[in-house]
Amino acid sequence: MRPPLPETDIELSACVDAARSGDEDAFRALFRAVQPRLLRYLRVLVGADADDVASETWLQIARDVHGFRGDFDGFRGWAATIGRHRALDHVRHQKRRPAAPVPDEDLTDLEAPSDTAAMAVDALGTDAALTLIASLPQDQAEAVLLRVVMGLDARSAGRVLGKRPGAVRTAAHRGLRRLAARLGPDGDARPTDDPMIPAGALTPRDAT
Amino acid sequence: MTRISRLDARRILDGRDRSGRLGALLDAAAAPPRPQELGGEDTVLAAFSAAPRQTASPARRFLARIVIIKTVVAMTLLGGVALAASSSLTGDDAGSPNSAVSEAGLPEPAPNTPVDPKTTSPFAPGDTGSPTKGPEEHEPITLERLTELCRLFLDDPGVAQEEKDYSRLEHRAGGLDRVRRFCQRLVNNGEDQGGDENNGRPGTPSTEDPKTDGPQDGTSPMPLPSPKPTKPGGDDKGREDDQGGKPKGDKGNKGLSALSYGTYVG
Repeated sequence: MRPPLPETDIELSACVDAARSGDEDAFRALFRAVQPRLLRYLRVLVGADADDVASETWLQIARDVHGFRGDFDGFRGWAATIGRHRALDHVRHQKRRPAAPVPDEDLTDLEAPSDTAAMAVDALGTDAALTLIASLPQDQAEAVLLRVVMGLDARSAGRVLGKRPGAVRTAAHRGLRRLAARLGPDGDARPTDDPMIPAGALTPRDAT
Repeated sequence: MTRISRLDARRILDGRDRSGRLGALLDAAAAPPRPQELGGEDTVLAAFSAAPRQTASPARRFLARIVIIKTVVAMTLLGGVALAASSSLTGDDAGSPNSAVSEAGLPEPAPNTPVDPKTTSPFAPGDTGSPTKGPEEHEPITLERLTELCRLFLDDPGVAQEEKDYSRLEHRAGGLDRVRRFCQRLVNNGEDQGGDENNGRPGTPSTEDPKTDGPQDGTSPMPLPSPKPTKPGGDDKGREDDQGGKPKGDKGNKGLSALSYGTYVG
């Protein structure tokens, strides 16, 4: 999920247009392109409930895409905005029900195991990486994810977060520094077989 | 990479620098999608195809507005043409029709002063149904009626001018000074050609123009209360669905027929 090639972005922008007028295949392409990124972003916000929140998000997108104006960049930002709103609704709803586990705890709980995960850079799988990022203060985690995973620029990310681009850059910068500090200095010897890493603590990198 | 400058940060975030552990971490976070991350596609697509479409495009609403505007304009233009056509049939000068000439006498041999009924009728006689003449101003006059008026006129101009639709005869004749000649021709033609008049229509008076072929029954071909287009576009311009800070700026990409959706091949 590197930043997509411009060519692909153009094609996906065409998909946005086609989906607006009801083209199912085009909408499927948009779903496949955006859903994984969205899901990872939502995991930082709502943890294990990300799947549910993502479903709600897509239902709203499916309903409203006909009135959407913009290219694929705009579509990603729009999807992230909707997803974020749904996630915040979800968190509020959870907090109103005392019996349910509060997802916010995910973030605080993650502080400890993330240190473990941080040491396993080489073998780092997507889940472990996300877990580590999620251990950041939320504004930093969101800034990093919107930039790196959702592929938004600072301005678009700011639009999602309701912040100015400068604030997003600052948050992302701080997040990166914190991550780097946690990961430790780069060295020749990659700590693949670091004895401190408990076996099975890491999700193996998925070979798709 | 313990010290990360803002510039470094930007390059890392943009994906231009993914070296070191931090780079590996971010690459892992943005790795290609895994199968479990694409679940729910069927549900989403079902929702998509079930979504109502009519709320859709502001563009379509805009197009619809254009169509509406065009229709109104076309009807207005058509109306104008029809109005012109019908007014050439109907004496539409609003001045009191049956006054002036009675005072002016009968300037049979064409006085060189053009007589304007509006100015030469300071006293519009209010007796002969002047309250009802309003709507009739716009009604066409039939050839039958014209002929009848002409006969009256030739018998006694004063009597003819008492008729409330006399002004139309004058209008058709092209002026007060031409009424007599016009009527002579009309009546003579009609009498010359005897009875072969359909709808009581005498052949064709030489000065006649084909507009007489209009409806002969005295009903207006088109009532035409001068259409007032109510600017269909101007009222709800700003009513676009602004949901959730959507970026505007349509790029208008069309034609995605042969698109490869292979964003994630692998």
